[in-house]
Amino acid sequence: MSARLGPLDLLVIQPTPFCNLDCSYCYLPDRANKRRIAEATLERIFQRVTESDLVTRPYTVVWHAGEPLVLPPTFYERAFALAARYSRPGLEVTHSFQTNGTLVDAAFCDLIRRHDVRIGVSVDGPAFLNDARRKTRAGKGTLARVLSGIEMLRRHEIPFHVITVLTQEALDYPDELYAFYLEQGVAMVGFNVEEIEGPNKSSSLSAEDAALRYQAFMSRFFDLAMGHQPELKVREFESMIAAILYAEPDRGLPSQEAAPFAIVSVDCEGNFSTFSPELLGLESATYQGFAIGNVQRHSFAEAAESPRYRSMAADVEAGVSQCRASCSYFAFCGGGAPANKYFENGSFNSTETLFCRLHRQALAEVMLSKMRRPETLDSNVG
Amino acid sequence: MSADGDAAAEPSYRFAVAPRFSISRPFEARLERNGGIRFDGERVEPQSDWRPLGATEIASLVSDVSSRDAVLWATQLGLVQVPEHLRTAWWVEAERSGGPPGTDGRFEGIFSKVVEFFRFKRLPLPERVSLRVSVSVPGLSSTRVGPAGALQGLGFGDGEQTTAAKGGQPVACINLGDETGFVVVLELPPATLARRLEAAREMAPHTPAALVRRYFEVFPGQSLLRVRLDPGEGLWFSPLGVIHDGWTEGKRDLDVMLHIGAETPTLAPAESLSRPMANVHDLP
Repeated sequence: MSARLGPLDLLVIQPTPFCNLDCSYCYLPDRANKRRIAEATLERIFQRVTESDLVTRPYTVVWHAGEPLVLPPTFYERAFALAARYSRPGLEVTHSFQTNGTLVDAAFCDLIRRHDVRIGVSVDGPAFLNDARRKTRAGKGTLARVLSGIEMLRRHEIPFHVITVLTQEALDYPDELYAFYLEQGVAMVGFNVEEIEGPNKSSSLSAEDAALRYQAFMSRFFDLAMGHQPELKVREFESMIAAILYAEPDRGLPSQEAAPFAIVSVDCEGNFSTFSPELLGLESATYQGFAIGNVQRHSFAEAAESPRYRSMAADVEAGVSQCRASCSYFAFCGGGAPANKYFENGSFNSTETLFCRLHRQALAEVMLSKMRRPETLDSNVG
Repeated sequence: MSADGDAAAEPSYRFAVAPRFSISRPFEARLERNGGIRFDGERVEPQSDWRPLGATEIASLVSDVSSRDAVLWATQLGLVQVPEHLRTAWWVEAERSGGPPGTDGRFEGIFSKVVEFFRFKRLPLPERVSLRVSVSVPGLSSTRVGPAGALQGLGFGDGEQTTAAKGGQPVACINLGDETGFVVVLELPPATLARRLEAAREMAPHTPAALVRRYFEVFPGQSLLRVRLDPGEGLWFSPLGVIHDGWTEGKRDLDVMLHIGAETPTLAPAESLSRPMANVHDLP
């Protein structure tokens, strides 16, 4: 295998495509399917990872894509044992659940505590925001159930972070979101933007003024988060500050999603892919699918020699080169997100996307303005 | 003409949840109407015979500004809400520093944050505003206090800090208390009051206070609306001028209201009296 692959940062495992919710912006086409991963497949995944040259530092297994907690804690006890069996000394695995929070119960809390699992809860804020998009299969709002899951985590003193999807509507409500996080005891939040991917063919953030409104939102949220003691950590602020501080003009920080095999995603049948995790399972006319192998039949090294992977990797690399040549924000980004490029522009070998305009360019402008001068309060109070 | 006039033909204010706010309690559970006013010496006060409104009345009083790009028009009274962390911050400061909240510098930081919040929401805030907090005991049918500390009854100004004499004008009032609060309003703009007086062959006075007094003398059966404000909620007034007052009858706790006023009014009630209301008709 080429030395350019990896190292592995994230192993994203989809233990089932099934999700008990039916959020309107979800990009997963197969979320009503109740298949679940076989233990033999799971074992093969960890075997393949261990056999590969991808693991040179500790990595994280993210149980995601579908709702991971629809499978019982006993499933994860066995899964974690398998992961431990195949891990190497000094290169231990950290487990992480990205969950909608509705199924968190005492048994899961016990599992989470014993295995020191990291928890990310997907919640979009107060009911008028969350319940507008995050719905049950019967079309009802989900916030009450999510909050009961969060309350369970808090009762068991389990730290968690929150992922919130920003839609067009949410950009008017930074104060309300901030108040919501405070009320729920959230110490760290990550903002995703509603993206155009797979079945989600449009984003409410595609509007012309979205970048300006996103910028105003982030600026306002920055002031709120930094003004709080202890400050509310925001993933986007931390990563962009690091990018600004450490980036070199011609060498952007590496984009994890554009780095071959930094992320490996595996579905419940053992099919795997790399680059952006959301690619796996989505259709592609260009590559006839994004899966580059199956753990039952292929090693990661073999997959890296496949025509499909080579074609994908060449296009991703060409896209990053285009970004390097044409985008003044490259140093703060490293080449964007391949999945966004593909589904918005029709090709990995392309540049700017909605994700770039918001999460990279607008965010960089906000952070640069905050770093240039301390925010002065324009009080106008007589 | 009856006290309530021909509502369909005359300009009147409509209530709306202000754009970019999400407030769950519907207007049906928020608005009540009474049977008129009573005089207490020089003061004009609402009667206490509040009743809920029917669906038709609600429909005629409420408008929708749900579009995210919408603005709050001068013909609308907007329902707003400060986030809980701002309301809490005010209480933390009040309890830390003790003593009655005034206009000293103790609350300036919090007031600035409130102003920043409303500016972010793109509400029509004047360039310079003043903020003050009033505290009223339960059991009052009027809470507007004049410069000498006396209750004023219904009027356009919001009390001692923003009297017409100082050129001030109320912009909004926010319930900072932990208990439901109320604000009483007349949904008619000053020009409508003047027109009604003229129709009744009465001369419309040229000062806001005199207009209020004279109007209610001529139309003592003019009903008023009582607006329920949950903790953190507030009412954004029209710059054309809104006759209003506080109401604490039935409350158990102190009534704590934040008043936002314009330091340099864009259109003071006194001015509005001499202007034609065509501009109000023109607004959607």
